[in-house]
Amino acid sequence: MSSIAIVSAEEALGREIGLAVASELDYRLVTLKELLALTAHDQGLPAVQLEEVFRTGGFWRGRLTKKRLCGLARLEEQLCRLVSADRLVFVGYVGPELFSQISHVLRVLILGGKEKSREGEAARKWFRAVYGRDLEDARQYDLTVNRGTIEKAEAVRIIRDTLRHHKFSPMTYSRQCLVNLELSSRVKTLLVDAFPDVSVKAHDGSVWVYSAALNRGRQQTAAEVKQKVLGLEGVRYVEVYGSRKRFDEVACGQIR
Amino acid sequence: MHTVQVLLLDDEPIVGQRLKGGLEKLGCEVETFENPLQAMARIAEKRFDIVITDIMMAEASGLQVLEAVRKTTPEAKVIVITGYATTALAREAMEKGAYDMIAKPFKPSDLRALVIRAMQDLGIPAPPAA
Repeated sequence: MSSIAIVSAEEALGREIGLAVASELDYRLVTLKELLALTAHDQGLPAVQLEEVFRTGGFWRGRLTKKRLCGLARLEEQLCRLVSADRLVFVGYVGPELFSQISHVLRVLILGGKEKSREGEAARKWFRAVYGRDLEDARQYDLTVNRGTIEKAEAVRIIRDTLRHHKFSPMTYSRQCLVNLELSSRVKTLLVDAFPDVSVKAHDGSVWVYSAALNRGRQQTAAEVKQKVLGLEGVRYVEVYGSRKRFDEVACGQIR
Repeated sequence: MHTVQVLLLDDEPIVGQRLKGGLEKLGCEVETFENPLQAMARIAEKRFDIVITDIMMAEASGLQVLEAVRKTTPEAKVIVITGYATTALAREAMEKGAYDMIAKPFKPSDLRALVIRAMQDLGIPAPPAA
């Protein structure tokens, strides 16, 4: 079954629509706060460590610090697992790259018509710093609902009816994408502590890993990473790269 | 008993050669094509239950083939196979009425499983060996 990702800088606005949509469709609702709690529970981490990911200050050269990158990787891994279980309404602003690669996830942006809150401004700032784009750029979404002009019941009806379009139905390809994303997120979580700049692509059990720390001069480290990744369930083959260009050519050339 | 009629279109001959036998083992009667224009001409004259088509081909795209099938036999199941899969293409194919889409490379068994599901959805029992 399809899933829905509801994004709103204004938490209460997103939660209100998410709750109503989940109830209408009999889907599971997971908010950002619940994602934090689930991840903390499943990964045996203190919740406060994951909450730290969303602190708006403390970016190093415009990027998340190592500790916060590790937290974000764990949250995105958890999100992959939740989407894999189907019939999910997720309300939150993490994982835009994940959702953009799964055709059976309907991405909805909820805008508020009233004044912007301080929390909303913090969410916008965080999103821009982490993902390098505007949270409220409608081009990232399949549907934008302005709550300033659309009533809640109407918004729910629009989302429900949009989801019924055949193009948001799961298919073999979108399920394959999800399996690949789930595997790459697990590999990333495994490596991000040691290699905060790690990028991972996976396809059908083959995994491509990039980190600048895995360049040619560090063959022993690269071999150790390879062995470590091969130990993960579902991994059949691993290649590691210290060159971003080469990684993009090889991994992204095979996975579109 | 109804024999499932399958049209298999891919401009790479090896694809048809590799997949045809496996589909015939399911009890399907399979016609393979490498040229989309010839395939569309055949679709216009014969009713197929399942059409399996590549997308990126020189003479016409698989989406045109999909549209041709929807016009002539809307109940037919069209399975799209492509080495250029993207979210946008997947959604476009589904919007135009594709039954499913699978990215290349795939295992022949993956396609067979899809064909069996399509047969079941058409009300045709899957062969016991499947």
